Amino acid sequence: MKILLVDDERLVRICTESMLRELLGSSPDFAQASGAACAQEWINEHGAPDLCFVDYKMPLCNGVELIRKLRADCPDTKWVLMSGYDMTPEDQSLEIPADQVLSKPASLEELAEVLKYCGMMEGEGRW
Amino acid sequence: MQRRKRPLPGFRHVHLRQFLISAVVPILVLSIILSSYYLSQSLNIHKTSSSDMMDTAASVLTSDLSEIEQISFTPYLYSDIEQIMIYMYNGYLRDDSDAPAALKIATLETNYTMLFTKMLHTSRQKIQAITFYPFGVGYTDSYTISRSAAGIRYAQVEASAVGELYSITENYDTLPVFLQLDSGDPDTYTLLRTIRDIDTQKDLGILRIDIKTDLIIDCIHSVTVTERSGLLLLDALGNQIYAIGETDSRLIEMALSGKTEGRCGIHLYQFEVRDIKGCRLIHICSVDDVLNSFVDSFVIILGVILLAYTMTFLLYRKQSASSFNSIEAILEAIRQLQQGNLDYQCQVHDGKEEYQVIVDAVNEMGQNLKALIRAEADARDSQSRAEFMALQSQINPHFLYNTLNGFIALNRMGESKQLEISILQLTKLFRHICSRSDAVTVDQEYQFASQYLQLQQLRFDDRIAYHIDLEGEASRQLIPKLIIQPLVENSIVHGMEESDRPIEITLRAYIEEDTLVLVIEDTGVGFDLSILETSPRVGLKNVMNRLELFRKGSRYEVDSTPGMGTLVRLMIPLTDDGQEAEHENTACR
Repeated sequence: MKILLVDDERLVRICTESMLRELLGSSPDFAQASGAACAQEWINEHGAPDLCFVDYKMPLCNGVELIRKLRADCPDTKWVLMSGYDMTPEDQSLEIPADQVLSKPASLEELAEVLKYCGMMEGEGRW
Repeated sequence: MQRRKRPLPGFRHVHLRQFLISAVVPILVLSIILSSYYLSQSLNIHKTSSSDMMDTAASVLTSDLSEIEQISFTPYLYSDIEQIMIYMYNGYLRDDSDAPAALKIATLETNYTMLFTKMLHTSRQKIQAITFYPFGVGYTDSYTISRSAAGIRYAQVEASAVGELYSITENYDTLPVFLQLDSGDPDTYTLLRTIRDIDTQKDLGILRIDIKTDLIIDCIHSVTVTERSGLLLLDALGNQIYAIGETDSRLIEMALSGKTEGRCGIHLYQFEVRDIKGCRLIHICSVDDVLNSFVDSFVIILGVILLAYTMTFLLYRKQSASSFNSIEAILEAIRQLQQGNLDYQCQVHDGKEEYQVIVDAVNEMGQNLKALIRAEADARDSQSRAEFMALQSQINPHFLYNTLNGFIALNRMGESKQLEISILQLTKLFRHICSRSDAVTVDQEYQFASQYLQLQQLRFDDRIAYHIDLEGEASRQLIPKLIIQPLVENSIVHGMEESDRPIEITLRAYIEEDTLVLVIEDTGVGFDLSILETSPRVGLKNVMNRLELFRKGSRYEVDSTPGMGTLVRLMIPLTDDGQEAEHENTACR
């Protein structure tokens, strides 16, 4: 199982990976990308990930745009949009192409719920 | 409360009343007193002149009548005349008489004729005839010497009128009577006198002297009377010899009854009567005429007074108009001030110096009030703005959000040392923010910026590099708190966050010609300066407003090139001590 974390902030990527590892153990392959270009590059090289966490607020290309762009190439990938305070009400009202939306900073429980929903963890997802 | 729009009529009335009391009333009173005095004087003068006129006429008339009277006294002066009159009485002059001494009678008769003829000649031409009507045997005879166109002639004519004449004269004993005989010529005036024999005390007959009335009225002819007045001459029997003007019988009766004043209808008359040898000269003087003549003068005087009043009033109006206008203008200005229109400028035209002083004071008061109110409002406004902007300039909560997120990550990574350092930095940051003073030194503010940048570095790693260059003198200057941090934040948010390239931020502070210069320079994305004109950056604007409130004359410069970076330069004049002290006061609040 391949999990891609896209965020321009290194600390956030590290933090999210650390929490996911705590929930899923060391079995999945984790990859980090600091931006849209980096993510595209990784997918081209390693193929579609099973699960992708995308930060909403990133320079040059935001998370929603990135998901839209990659979705066609990666039809089976589950997308999780990580939103910070930057997500305006207008943004939220848009049709969000992600499978799940998670507010930053997410707690372990919230992450677990998302994983369950995506079938990555056993148990019923809340959504 | 509804104010009266024009409170001035009362004021004008007061002024007018003062004018009337001080000018019109005294003039009016004076005119009335003078008029009354003039009226009484006029009446007196009229009365005196009327009296003088009467005296003159009476005196002339008396002298004329005396002359005639003197002629009638002739029989008593000349015994020859008396003697011939006795003869006439005895009828000796009749043709058929048996006269004792014809020669003597003839001589006496001649003397008689000669004397009276002489008298006719020597006396006034107005004496028409001298006639003797004897009683006794000669009764019904008359002996006349008369004047005619042909000359003087002597005639012995029959005179049946002697009885009638005697009925008049017997009332007067031997005194002469002046009268106009009904039977005679209306232009002739007659003196009658009973002649008495001194020895026998027998009435011999009546001596009659006819005079042309002209002789008598000559002297009163020239006398003029007023329109409704009248002048009359009555003979001894009360017949009118001469009359001009008013001759109402009631008035004559009143005059003769001894009254000095009387009323006929609505008119008032004064009477003056002179007794001249049994004749009465009566002046009926119309008081109305005198008053009328006075009224004419009075109307002229009144006209002149009214004209004077009018002119006085016009002058007063003209003189007081400018005063009233000035006062109205001043009151209007005060009203405007009351209503809060402090911009109202009062103008007086042609005003007196005193009014100008008041107007200037009122205008100045308005301006001063306005300045005071504005200063007060400005002060309050500045205070609230400063407070508001200080609040506004508090640290961006997003920063805190991101920083705490970073702390969570550090914790998860097990970077406890770094976490502790970061937490301490955040604590210092808040200590600076929470410090009670509004002003801090440049050094303190740059320290704060440094901590802020370090915390940002936690988030953005090596994408942010910064450098601080602080001159010793500059570092001790006071500036408003949190004046640099918003600009640093701008550099990060606008200069870096939207791109993925790294940024270098340089902070400098130095003093240049009595001006503290603070420089915030970055190598970020930069921007087109024209954007500033349409949408000035809120952070920068806020900073500038606070600086302007902090110290007048503060200014800023922004230089930016897209793709190259941005440079913001704040220039704060070094203040004098007074201003510094003032600010410290503010800082201590």
